[in-house]
Amino acid sequence: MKKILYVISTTLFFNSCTKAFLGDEPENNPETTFESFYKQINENYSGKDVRPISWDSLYKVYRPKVTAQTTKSQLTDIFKNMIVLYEDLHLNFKIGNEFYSPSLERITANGIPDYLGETALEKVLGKKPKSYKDLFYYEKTSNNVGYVNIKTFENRFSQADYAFFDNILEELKDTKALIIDIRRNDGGNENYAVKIAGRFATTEQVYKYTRVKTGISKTDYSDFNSFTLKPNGVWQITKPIVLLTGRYTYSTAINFTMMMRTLPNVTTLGNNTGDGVVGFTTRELPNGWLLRCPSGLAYLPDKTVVEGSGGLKPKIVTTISEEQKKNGQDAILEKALDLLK
Amino acid sequence: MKKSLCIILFWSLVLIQIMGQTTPEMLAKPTHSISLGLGLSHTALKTEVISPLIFSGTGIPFSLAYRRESVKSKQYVQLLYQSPTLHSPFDLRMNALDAFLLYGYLRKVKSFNKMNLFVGGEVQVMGSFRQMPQVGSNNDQGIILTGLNLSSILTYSLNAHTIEAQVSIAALSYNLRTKDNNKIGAFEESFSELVRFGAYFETLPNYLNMSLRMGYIPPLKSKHFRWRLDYWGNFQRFKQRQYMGVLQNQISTSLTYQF
Repeated sequence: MKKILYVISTTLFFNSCTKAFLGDEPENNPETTFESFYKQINENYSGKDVRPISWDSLYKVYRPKVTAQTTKSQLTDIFKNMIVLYEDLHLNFKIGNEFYSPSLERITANGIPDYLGETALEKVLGKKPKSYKDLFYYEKTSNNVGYVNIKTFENRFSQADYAFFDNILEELKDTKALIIDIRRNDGGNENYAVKIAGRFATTEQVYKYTRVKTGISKTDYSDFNSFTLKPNGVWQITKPIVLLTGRYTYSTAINFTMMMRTLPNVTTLGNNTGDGVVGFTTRELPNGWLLRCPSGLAYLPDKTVVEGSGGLKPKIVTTISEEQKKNGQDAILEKALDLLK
Repeated sequence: MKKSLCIILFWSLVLIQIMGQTTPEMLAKPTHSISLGLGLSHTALKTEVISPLIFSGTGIPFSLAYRRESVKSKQYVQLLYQSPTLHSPFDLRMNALDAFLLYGYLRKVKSFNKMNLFVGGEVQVMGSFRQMPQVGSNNDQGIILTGLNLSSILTYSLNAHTIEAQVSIAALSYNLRTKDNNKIGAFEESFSELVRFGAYFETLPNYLNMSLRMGYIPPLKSKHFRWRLDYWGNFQRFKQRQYMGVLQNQISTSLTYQF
């Protein structure tokens, strides 16, 4: 009887001791936060496996700079300095509502790159483009070319909003060609992107592969997981299409670019896309800061890795010079219209 | 691994021995009961791929159980459901949804004084999903688990009051689960991808799933109705690159209809 009571009371005791089962939590101080930041990136960040930057070397440089007296501001700068070298738009962190993305800050220091805004569009198109909820801007040029600017794939717009793309295609049905502009599209939900791209697809095509990081080593990855673009909608657009990209085109907008690149009637034009396509997982640090770091790699249909490649290079590379920028001249859009003359 | 296989083999042999026995006592008329329960639970979870900190929170679990009990055996089918909201110490939110379906069959192996010891097995099906709405769908994780547990119940009866203590431990489990750095969204393309990337058999010592149940069953208040009070504690630990463990404790009371 005594033995049984002993077993029961012991088991009850263990159940009440959360930490006995789940282990200790790290203390909240700059040193444990730094160590956790290092560990999470070291064990889970896929981007360091395809970029020539040694995370261990960065640790050796920055670890001595962190002490119990390190301030929040100093630790923020250390983290920014460590991750900016990877030039990965999906490697960033949040402190409360403040978002720190040093790679994004670098490319947007002088505004959205390779894109001059709606006023510049109006100058080239000859009239102010119509808009739908700051999601789509669209117009027909005097030369009978359709222009559609997709500003995002984010979830802040509904499925019904994205379905408005079908209305735009109806309106531009009689045009001889289309320009799809995603130069200021920072991504969002891939499901919306694949539905829009599906309007242009006539057959099923694998547009990308992904692999998930399964270990610390550079070669520890899962098998390839394929993603397919399928025709969507009641009719398909088979006319010539020029897709405009720039360095602010990243995340799901790169996925969209990969989808469109599988189509024979699509020409990509502009500047390289940004770097950062696979989604990130949010990881909490001991002081409550949130590290956002991707743990997978995306590949083109020929299994060339996309991350760390400096972005997808368009077929026709065109940029906006400083002089053109000063004059509000959207040289990329002008080049696209030239191509479709 | 060899040790685990030996343990499984030993318990399997014990089960076969027990199930092979039939005595006249076993043919005594069994009792049937259906219980509907409501309680209070506390869940603590640590998944180091997301945080080194412990997420914890309370929930209101519901349970529905059918029990068939005779002098020599106990059988039950039990459904447990809860959807607690967990928080990290810095208020990062995790919405959890846990559902357990258990079928247990145990045979009496020993009686002494006012106590009876039953030994047997449990089939467990569990679905557990976690979302973190503040950070988006990339953090969604899930487990669908089908397992065989070894189980024993000790009952103690005194003046029509009964106390039950049950201990169960997973012997073998077939799990579909998102592993480190995978997420539910990664498998939206097709269910076959989930099976391809996240399905495997797990057993001790890599996978630990154990539970303790304590029940107090007072005498019948009327011809058919009685209530019972239960405590249930469950601990699951998955050995992957980064630690993941879940500890759940719950107290519930049930209204039981006996026939």
